[in-house]
Amino acid sequence: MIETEQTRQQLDPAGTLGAFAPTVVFAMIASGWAVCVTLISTGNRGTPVLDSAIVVLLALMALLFVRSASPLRAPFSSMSHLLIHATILAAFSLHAAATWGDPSEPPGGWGPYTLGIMFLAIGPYRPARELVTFGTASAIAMAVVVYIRAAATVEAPFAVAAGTIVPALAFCYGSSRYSGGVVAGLRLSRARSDQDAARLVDQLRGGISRAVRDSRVTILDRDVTPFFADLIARGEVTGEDRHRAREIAQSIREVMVADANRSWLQVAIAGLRSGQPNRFTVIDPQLVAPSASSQQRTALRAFLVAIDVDSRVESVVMQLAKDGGYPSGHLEIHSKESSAVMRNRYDPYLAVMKIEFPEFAVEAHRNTLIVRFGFDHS
Amino acid sequence: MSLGFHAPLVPDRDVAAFSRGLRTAALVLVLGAILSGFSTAGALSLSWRQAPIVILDLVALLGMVLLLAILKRTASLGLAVLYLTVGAIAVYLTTLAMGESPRAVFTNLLSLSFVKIALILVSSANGGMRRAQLWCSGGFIIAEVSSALAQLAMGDPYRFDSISFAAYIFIFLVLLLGWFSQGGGLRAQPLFEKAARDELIFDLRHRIELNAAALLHDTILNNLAVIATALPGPLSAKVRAQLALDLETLSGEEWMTPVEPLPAIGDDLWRQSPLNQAVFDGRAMGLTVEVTGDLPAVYRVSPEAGVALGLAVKQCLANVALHSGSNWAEVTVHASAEELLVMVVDTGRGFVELEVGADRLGLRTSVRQRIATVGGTVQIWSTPGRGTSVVIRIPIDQPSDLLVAGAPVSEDPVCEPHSAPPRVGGVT
Repeated sequence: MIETEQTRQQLDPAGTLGAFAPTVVFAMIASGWAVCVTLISTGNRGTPVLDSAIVVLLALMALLFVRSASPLRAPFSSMSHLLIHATILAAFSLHAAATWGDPSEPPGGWGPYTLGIMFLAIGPYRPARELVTFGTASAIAMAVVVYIRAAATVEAPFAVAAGTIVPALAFCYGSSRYSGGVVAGLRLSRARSDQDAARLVDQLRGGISRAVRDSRVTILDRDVTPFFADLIARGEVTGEDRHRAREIAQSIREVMVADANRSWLQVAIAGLRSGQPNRFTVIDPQLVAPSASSQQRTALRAFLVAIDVDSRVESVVMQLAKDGGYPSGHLEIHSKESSAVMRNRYDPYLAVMKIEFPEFAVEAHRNTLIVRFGFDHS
Repeated sequence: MSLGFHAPLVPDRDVAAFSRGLRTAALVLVLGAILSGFSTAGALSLSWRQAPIVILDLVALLGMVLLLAILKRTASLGLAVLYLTVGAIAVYLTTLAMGESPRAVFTNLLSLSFVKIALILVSSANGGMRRAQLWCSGGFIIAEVSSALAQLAMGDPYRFDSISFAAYIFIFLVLLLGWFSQGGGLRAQPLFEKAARDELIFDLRHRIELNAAALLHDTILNNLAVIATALPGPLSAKVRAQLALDLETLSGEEWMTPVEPLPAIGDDLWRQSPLNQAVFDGRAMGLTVEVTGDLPAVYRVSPEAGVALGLAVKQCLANVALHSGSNWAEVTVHASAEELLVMVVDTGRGFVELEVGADRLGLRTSVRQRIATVGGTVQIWSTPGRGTSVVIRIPIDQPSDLLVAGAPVSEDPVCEPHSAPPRVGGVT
């Protein structure tokens, strides 16, 4: 079985936020430059329909790129990557048709450069192997188009075709190398983190075990120990003993039920340190919170702490329920600030949640930010 | 100590990965220059004798390829300077070679630009984006000066290379944006660290509490139930011994210590297993318990999971004895490559799980949650009047080829536990 390659965005969604602005810039440069070249040349060659189609396709490519790279639409999918390639190739083929037989036009035009710049931007979002595969395939397709077009006008069409696609290939392999290197670095960090976590568990296990044991023994010492000791000493069971046994069993069950029902979310809320715990309301009548995975809990915990330390937040309501049988959450944050400012501040947390929760959406309404998330659809 | 949930990339490592990416791009450009330039020479039937400078150019370009390959593995200041030097020579020779084959102007221009851009793409390792910008600017200046000198040597006027200048501006912009975009998630990282640590501690405590609760249920609550339903009169020796054992166990330290590894795999696997102990205890409750299946497979789960399985099955058998109205049960063991499957079946009166009171903790605490703490799942099929089947699934920890071949399969083994059965009250 081939292991699915991971991307920087999947391993470090908060860190990849920084790549979004350059991605937008590169997408604008890649398409903007090609659009400008096309618009400047269109008056000379008289192919307005083809040129219009090229401009539309390039604009679509830029839009698709920016939309796919948005942290709130993460992760950047393989299908989006494929569509971007298809759009560029389609626009490039139209460009070749529009400039057919014109020796004054460079054989490759803007194509290999647009493709190359796109690769530069996509490195953090797609895995190394996919970048190489798609990039090589697109470069070969471009080379074929260039070769066919150049064969009619130049002496060395193969050299022209090979030379033309070099920039695209260079940035394709460079981007792939970057993606692979970054993912390897993140995996190394994560492996070290796992070791640290294992050490921390070893350090804490003894203390926590003793604390749990002491709390249980305290409960037992109060009722059970004297009762059993008395029974053993007397050597007989009476009707009163039977009644007492039921009472003790019931009280122990109540404690155990309370323990079993206490969720990580209640503990997390109780542990907030702002001194204003009343701002938080958690509604979880179906005990959905335990459905969250460890990574999902960590993402939510971090988000809650970030909200907690924000004094401008007035109230937070989290509702968890089974929506159509699937556990999901609805988080409303009411603040003195606008939702746009809140969204910007909480970007890293939302980016991580977007990766961790299979269903995720953010809505902004004036001073309220609404976050919806689904735990699992398996 | 860092728990590094979504551990961010250390900025230096990000720059290093970026530098390696740029060097890879440079390598492809130089190879592209070689391919493009020499395929042009071939297509135009230029002989080596006609263009000796081309051979020298090839040597310099191959030197660049070699240095880039080395730089990709071990970057150092000396190697970077050497690369710039060899690159400057290559640009000089490529510019001269361009003059030898004036017919293929387009591909020659491309080849020259590729070599120049390959010089611009050199970047220092682990020096930060600003340092990379300085190297990039240095590469551009050296490339342009070298090209200008070659043009001067040929007696040509200086021609400004707009392609490589555009590439330089673009790469400079890339490095600038990269510098600004660094550390996007770093400001949130302390909270992720704290959240990861809190989650780790909660999970550890929760698992310990679940074990404690399950043990409490198996011992104290079960015995309180025995007392509550006993007829008034003398305490039986068995119950008295059980109460004394409960007091001793719960006040001692042993039940909270980690599980020791199970004994090495040998020919009496089944006897030593916690599951066998559970069957033994079930028979002691007055049940007829039949055991079938791939019994040694119980050792293919972790020691913690083995103990949890034994205790869960014991609770299932206790439920059969207490609630089913039947005195017969079957325990079946199967294993696939991924999971161990243990089924406890009875033909008793059955029940509706949803109707079981929230305070009845046997199935919930001693079976479901206990198995969940070791990564397993529990399914229950029960129909009133037609018996109950409890299916426990636990992920396999080791492959079957580590087990001894020929161990008992599909037979009713002796259930007397080994003289030193594994401890059953551990914390996982």
